[in-house]
Amino acid sequence: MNPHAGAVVPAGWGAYNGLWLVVMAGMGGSAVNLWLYTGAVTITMLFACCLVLSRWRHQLEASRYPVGLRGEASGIAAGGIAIVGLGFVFGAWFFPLGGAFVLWGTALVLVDNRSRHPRPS
Amino acid sequence: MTAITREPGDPGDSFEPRDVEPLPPGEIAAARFERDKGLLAWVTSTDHKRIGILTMATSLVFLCTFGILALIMRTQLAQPNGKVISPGAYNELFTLHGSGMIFLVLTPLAIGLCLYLVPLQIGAPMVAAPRLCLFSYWLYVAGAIVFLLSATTVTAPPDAGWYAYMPLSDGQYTPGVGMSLWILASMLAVGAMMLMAGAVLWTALRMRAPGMSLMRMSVFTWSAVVTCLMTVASFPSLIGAMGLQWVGRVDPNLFTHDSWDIAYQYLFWFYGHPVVYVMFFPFVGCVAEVLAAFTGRKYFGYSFTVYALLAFAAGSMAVFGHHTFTTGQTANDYFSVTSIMLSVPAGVEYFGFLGTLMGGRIRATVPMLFALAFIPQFLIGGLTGIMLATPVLDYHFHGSYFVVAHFHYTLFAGSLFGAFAGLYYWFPKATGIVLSEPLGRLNFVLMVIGTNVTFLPMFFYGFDGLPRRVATYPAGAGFGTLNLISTVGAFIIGLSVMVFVFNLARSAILRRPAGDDPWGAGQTLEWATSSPPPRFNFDGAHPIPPIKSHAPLLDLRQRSGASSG
Repeated sequence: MNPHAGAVVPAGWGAYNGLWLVVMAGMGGSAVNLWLYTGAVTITMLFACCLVLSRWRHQLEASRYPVGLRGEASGIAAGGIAIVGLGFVFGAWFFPLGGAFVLWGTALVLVDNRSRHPRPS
Repeated sequence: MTAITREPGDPGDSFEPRDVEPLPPGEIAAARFERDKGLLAWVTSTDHKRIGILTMATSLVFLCTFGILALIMRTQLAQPNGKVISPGAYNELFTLHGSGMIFLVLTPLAIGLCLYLVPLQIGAPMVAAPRLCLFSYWLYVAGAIVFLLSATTVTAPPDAGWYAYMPLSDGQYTPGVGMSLWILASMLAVGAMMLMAGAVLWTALRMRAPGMSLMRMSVFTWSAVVTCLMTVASFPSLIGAMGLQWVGRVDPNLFTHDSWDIAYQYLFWFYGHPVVYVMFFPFVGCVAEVLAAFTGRKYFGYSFTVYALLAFAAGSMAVFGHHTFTTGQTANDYFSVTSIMLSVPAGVEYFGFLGTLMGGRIRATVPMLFALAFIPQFLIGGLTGIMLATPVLDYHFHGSYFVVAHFHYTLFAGSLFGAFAGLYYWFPKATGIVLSEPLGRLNFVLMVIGTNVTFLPMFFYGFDGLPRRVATYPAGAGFGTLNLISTVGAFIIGLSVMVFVFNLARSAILRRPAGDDPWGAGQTLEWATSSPPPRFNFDGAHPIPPIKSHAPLLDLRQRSGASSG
């Protein structure tokens, strides 16, 4: 069985979209349309490439707990990003506040990653 | 220790056996995985099931919220020259209703369901990037809070419609922070779902259990895969569109040429059309699973359906320009042909539905009733879509209530009925308790009546020329009676949702245990584990059964039936 079978799905789907892209170019699609569609096909192909590349990293990951322990980090970081976004509406003084939350969440993730235990064999 | 049953010769293409070993309880405790109980345990959990349930529950709360806005609008339109709300308030309500239902209700409901079910159905112990999924949930919640903030700004709530066309939505014509907050909210919510979908896609393609080859994945999982492919590929376009719009609001002189307004429409609809399918495919998967389960046979035409889903999804990326036929600057031929061609894979899916029903022993459970109603109702939405994909007809229907009827038949009579089929079907699995069947039937009957009474008349007064997004219409125009009928239907839908909420509350109080497979009909892996499933989905007491097809539990029942017979 091909170990990269999973990557075939986004790659094949992207290629099929590429076919429609060529048809669109042939039938008078505007430049914006073509660039947009090309971007989508590229993202799909990149996803397929990442799937293939991740296969090589997999053995390393398998030796550690794959579950992030500190879920708090996710909420804190998400809140921080929303606060940073509010800075674009209400003023720049939101940026350091939101940035602090993002840093706090990131720090929690780093601590969490360091405390992962080796998996039982 | 391993919970995986691997048959000799099974493909097992993606996951080594030791990777899916559940951790022993002692190790889990030592690693202080998570708190088990309490609100904090739920909102900080990296368990895909909890994140999925949180996402779906949040979206259902917003379904009720934005549904109430629809009732206010229908009350306004019940009579000619309605004076319940002002025209300005009406603009705000349809903007919040439309964008809220898409950004905060149906998309998260669809992706949340995928997040809950995909790891279970492929035999994975968890989702890939669980912390990222929780981050996505909180980003979605943050987006929802900002969205509600935008609605409560006294000076200028957003009122430019769900697609916020330029120049109506720029700083000159829609000043104030409300519109800016709406843009931020849409970016947060859409970005969140994009990340969550990426994690689900990665899980389906990389973390399948031994034996679970691609063509043994369930129809639902395939529908999730194509949904997530579309999400990952098309959602960045909206984030880009909103980012540019934000810049344009800061400096309205930046994008003054007409071509910018058209380019914005392309950017928006490159997201806006695929998102319709993102809100639809997972519920097609629900209907397929429910039909197979309650006819007691394998899904008919599985391979054809899988390829049709992939082709359907790819085709739906290629049709976005049909929303801009009337601008006169679109390649109408191309977008018309591709849009009409979507009826081919859709027809294959319908063939699968009907083929599964034919010759099956149909059990009329509540999920089955919703699935059965989905079939003709979505057909109405689909067929009227072909009409709208024809430019000469679209010039007549564009901006009328015909379009409103079409997309409500697609997203409400189609997607939401599929969602209810799925909610009733998997509720006992997710919670370990059962819902009341009589109340479910009442919910179903009211919803079928309400849906068709509300949306069917819209085709007629839309065809006769009533434009959408008008706060009132004159007496004597001939629209009064049908609008009143639509309003009555909308309140029947409201009643049906109240019955559903009552059913949930009653079940939560009574707590009748469900058992592992309360329907006695489950075909996919999630029905092999406990209800609710353990932290890592399968354990020693509930191992993954041998996987020989896309319906491993049906195989098991048939084998045990054959051996006992």
